[in-house]
Amino acid sequence: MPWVFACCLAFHAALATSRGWSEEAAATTPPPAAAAKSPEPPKPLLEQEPFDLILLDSANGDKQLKVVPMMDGKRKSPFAVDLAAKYRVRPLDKEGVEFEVDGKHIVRIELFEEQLLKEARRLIAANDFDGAFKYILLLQANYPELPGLNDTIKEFLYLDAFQLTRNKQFSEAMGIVEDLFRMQRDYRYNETAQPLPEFLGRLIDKLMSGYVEQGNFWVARTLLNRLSSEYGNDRPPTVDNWKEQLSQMAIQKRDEARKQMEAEQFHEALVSIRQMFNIWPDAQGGAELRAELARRYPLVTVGVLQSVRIPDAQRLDDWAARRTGRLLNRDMIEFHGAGPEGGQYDFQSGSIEHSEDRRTMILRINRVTEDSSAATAFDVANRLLDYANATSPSYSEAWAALISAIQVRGTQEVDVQLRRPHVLPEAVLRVAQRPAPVTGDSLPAGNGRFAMAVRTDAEVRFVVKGFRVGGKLAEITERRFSDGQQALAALHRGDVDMVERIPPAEAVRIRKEAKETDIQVQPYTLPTVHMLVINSSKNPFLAQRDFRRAIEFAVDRQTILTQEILAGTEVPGCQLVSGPFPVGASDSDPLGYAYDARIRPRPYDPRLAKLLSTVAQKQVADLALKRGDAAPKLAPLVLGFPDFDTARITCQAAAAYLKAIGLECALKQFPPGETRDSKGECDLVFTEIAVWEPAVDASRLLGLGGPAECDSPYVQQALRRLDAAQNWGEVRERLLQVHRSVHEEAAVIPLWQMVDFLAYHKRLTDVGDNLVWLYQNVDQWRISNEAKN
Amino acid sequence: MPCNKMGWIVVFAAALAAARDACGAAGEWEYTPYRIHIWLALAPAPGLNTIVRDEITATIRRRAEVEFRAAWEVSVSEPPPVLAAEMTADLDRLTVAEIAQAAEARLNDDKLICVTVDASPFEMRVRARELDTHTRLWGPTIEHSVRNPEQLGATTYACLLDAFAPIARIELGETRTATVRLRAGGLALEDKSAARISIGDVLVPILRTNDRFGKPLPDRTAEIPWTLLQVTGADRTNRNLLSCNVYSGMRAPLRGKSSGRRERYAVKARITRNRTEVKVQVRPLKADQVPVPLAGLEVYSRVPAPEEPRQQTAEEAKADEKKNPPEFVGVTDWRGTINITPAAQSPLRLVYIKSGDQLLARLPLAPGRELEQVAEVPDDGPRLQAEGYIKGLNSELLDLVSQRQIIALRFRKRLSDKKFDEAQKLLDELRSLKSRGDIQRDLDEQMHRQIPSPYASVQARIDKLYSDTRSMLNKYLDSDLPNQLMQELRKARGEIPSTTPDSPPAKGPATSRSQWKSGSRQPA
Repeated sequence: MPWVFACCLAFHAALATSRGWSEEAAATTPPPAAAAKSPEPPKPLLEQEPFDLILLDSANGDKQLKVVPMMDGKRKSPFAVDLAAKYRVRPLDKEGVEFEVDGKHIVRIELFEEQLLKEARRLIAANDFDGAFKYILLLQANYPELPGLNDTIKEFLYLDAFQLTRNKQFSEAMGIVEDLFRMQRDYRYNETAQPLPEFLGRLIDKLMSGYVEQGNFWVARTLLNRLSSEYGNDRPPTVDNWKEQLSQMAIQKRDEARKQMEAEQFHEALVSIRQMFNIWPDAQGGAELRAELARRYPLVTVGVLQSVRIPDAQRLDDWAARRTGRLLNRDMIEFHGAGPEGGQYDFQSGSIEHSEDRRTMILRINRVTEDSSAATAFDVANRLLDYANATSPSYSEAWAALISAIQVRGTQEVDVQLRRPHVLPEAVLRVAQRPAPVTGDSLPAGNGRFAMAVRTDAEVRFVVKGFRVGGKLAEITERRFSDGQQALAALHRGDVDMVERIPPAEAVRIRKEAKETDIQVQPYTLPTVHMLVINSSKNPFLAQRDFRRAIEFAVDRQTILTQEILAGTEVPGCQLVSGPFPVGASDSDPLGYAYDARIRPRPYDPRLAKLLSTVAQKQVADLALKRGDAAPKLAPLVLGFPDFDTARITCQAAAAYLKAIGLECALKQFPPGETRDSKGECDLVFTEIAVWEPAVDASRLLGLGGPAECDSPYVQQALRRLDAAQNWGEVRERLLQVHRSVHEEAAVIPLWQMVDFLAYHKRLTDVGDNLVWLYQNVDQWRISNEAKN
Repeated sequence: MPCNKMGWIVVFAAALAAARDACGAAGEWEYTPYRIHIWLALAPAPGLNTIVRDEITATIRRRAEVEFRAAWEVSVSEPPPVLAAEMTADLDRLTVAEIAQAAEARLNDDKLICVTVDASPFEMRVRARELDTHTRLWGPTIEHSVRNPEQLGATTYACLLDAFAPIARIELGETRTATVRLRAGGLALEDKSAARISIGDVLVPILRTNDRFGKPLPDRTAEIPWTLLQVTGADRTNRNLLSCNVYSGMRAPLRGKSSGRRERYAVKARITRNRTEVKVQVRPLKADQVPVPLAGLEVYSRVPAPEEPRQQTAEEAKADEKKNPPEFVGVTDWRGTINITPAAQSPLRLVYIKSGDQLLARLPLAPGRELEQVAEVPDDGPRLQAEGYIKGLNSELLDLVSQRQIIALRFRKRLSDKKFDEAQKLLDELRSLKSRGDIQRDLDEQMHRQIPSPYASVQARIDKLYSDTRSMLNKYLDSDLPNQLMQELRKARGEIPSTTPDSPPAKGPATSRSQWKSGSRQPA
């Protein structure tokens, strides 16, 4: 069973690595000066040159001769000395010398491997298992047939496991005991020692108790299942005891859930059912109960990384606001994906047409909206006028600048006259269907199908208004996790049905394993762009474009993306960018129409960054001198970021790079739900932007009041020219100019384009394809009623 | 020239008469009262009857007597019937031509103040509007309301007082200063009198062009655009002669003297609103050109210092700016407009309109005097576009020059350490950077894309931007650096001999003894 030994020893190798080879570290540490003069301790046998030991008789003074190993290839332990033979040997310490030893004077010959084994035993007896392990490893590799080696290994495993158990390292001990169990199930160290099956059982108890106490039932079940399948009928009896115990716990939860359902506490019932499945999925009646709950109150739990403060589907810089805005509010015109010429839009109350000269937009009202209200032409027209009213809270300067007149024709048609032809006036018109009613509650209300029922730091619950039994969906609960890995673990456990965003590296891995799991992964169809937005009004250094460029050259964005964010995994679509617009998922992706591929991202060049930083600081000092003021001091840059892991990792890494060129940074994490620097305390802010219609979103992003507001007159001029574009050719050409202007100004520090992925359990169906945002197809979602896991 | 004594006497007498006329004219201007005529029109509403009219009239007379004493000569009457209805319906529609037709004599007064009184069940509304007959220009319509009928007279008086604006005559105008003579100043003895103009007050200069009979030509009297005066002091000998600073967006708008055909007046600015909307649009090149608003222009403003404006050097201007820096007001919106509010320190503000680094206009403004004022400037868009591109190119150039220098330093260090392979890599890296030729090509392409400007001055600035950039390219971007470094590398490697300019000339061809012996005279 050499493979068993190999496995054991491999496990030990891992264990030894985890313990840390302090002995090796100590061996490489130079001795202190005071001890320099003392004689060096003898090398361990393992590190010495191999030798055989010949023990001579008393006539020769009981001498021990160390000789070069004899008879290579014909060695057999124990060495049978032929008294009549004369053995030609070479002393170890005298090179080139050979002499004969008469067999009749030889008491014994200890082969080197026997010495190693003896030393191993000595170390085992001294509880030096790490030391012993090296000898065993060597012996197993080179002398697998050495008599006594197997027993020594078993002894080693047993005693090592015993010591680990005493040190409460049950998991490690368990592995070793299992190895021993596979070697010899009835092994017993000595008469007084516990039989191995009992030892194993005790360890299983310790481990299972710990897992149950921590609520780590998935690991507990995995352990029991493995033990059952591996040992079959030879499994320790405690395995069955534990299975029964878990089953009872699950049944308790089942009963609790049933009571809660009877009391129509459906949310609580689902929590109990989830706990039941987590403890023991095969609990009797559990699957049926869950199916019944899914039928009476279909509830979907979504793991989210960012909580929402104010739902708003039009926010460019707030993922959570966009996500939840769609639930609470339905906009008059909604974006639902990229098309061959800009985005594709849906008018909730009917359809949109354009005149040939694109100076008239015709809205035909012929559909009942989601809140069952039938908007009339007058309703729509009033809303459009309100949108152009400078005193209205819904005022849109872009819309006001575009329209010249609105006419109502009958009850079902509204004609909007434009001041100039526009390629996508509906993109300018993304506004709420009607103003959200003002209530005395702290929870935002809207005209969508869902209402926010509960909001805590840990979760937010959205309930379907007027739900009736039999409906597809009753509630969506969003549960917040601090990072994607935790959320994914919850998905695997069944604590959530869906995770809105998982780490891209994990997404790639899970997709490869798709057939083996119940988890479905798909990308969002439109990427986001990550960037550092600059607050140049606060800091005179950041007002210098040389300083801003210095920051861009100083940060190795490629390494941060590939190593820190993507963990070395190649994820198509995730790449550096040189401007504020997405590149698109591929070369043929129409979304990339705003991106000028000729502009390369500024490379990582810390020397140049340092030089530019110095130049900029001198410029600031010179300007102050000319004004007669004292030169401002360069304070640490405050780098703000929202509360999710990608932002945190990026900013921590960026701060380290900036520090390397002499720019100190202070990090500031925003409260949950915040994505902007509301207090104006930050110099740089990590921002995640969804620019899905660059022809219109460029101004919303970079214009006055936008999340990446840029006061450069050149960028603003480029934006004005873009707003005045009358056909797609002009739009494209002017967007490229915007890109160039932003790049030249270093108005933002572009990071990368990110493709995001969502993951969900297969029991959640009709989630939809080519999703722009999570709840795009929420009206069709269905949680499976199948009575299985 | 007259030859005899009588002739000289005649000439002298004529000159004396002319001087007396001038003094007489000035004296009449200063020492005769304002002839104020008030048309009082009451709407046909319950409670507004002749008794009310009489009470209002009496109040006006009484209060004017107290306030203005001799400076005002007030008369009150009903308007001509043909104008009364229009007045009460919409006071803003009344025109000078209508008045001239219905009551031309009234245009001989100094001021005609049209007052209407209307009543609703809840309040009475008084409106007043002044027509200055010297300039033939209307003032703003002032509106007051009152609920207590007993206060109607006082309210009416207060309304017409707000509508009244004292007038001065511009006696002398220079580029940056002017002297004005206050109407009825000799009779308005109290400093607080509403007929007086004080230090710090803002005056609106008006140019009136007359026919040969001295009558104002229709539509030839107007405010001098974007020009305001601010009173800085009074003459020591005559407090009715006021010194003013001239602030204007035009050059020398008041130079020269008035004449019979050209009269210049200055009316005190009335601030009746809490803001003025300034609209900036493209200065048209043709008369029928549709106005194009200019969005995105940066607007600054400051309150001018009371000292006389003067020609300043750049350093003086900067020192001034430091003492009294312009305040950023905002950026013009998509309609080219921006609101300017009155300053607490002064009714006058200087407004600066900038496009990028270029100052497009420096205009005086009395915020609140007008609801809207339009400023026309050349379309600076093409120049701004060029400036943006050039600045970007400068940044790129800085990066490039820096990178080249850094690589060159590192390259030479490698040479000195004899790490020739690494030096070669650095040289390759240097070659991969953009060259001067690449940038010049980019510059040429951009010049082709550049939008030309129809304004010669703007186009000249654009051309200068590009030519300065070319010069800078040639100056800072040495195209020979890669070759230089390559030569250094080859020398360091020994591929080419290193010779110095002062090294002795090479000796003649060396011949070896063997070659000599063989008879070969060819150099080794």
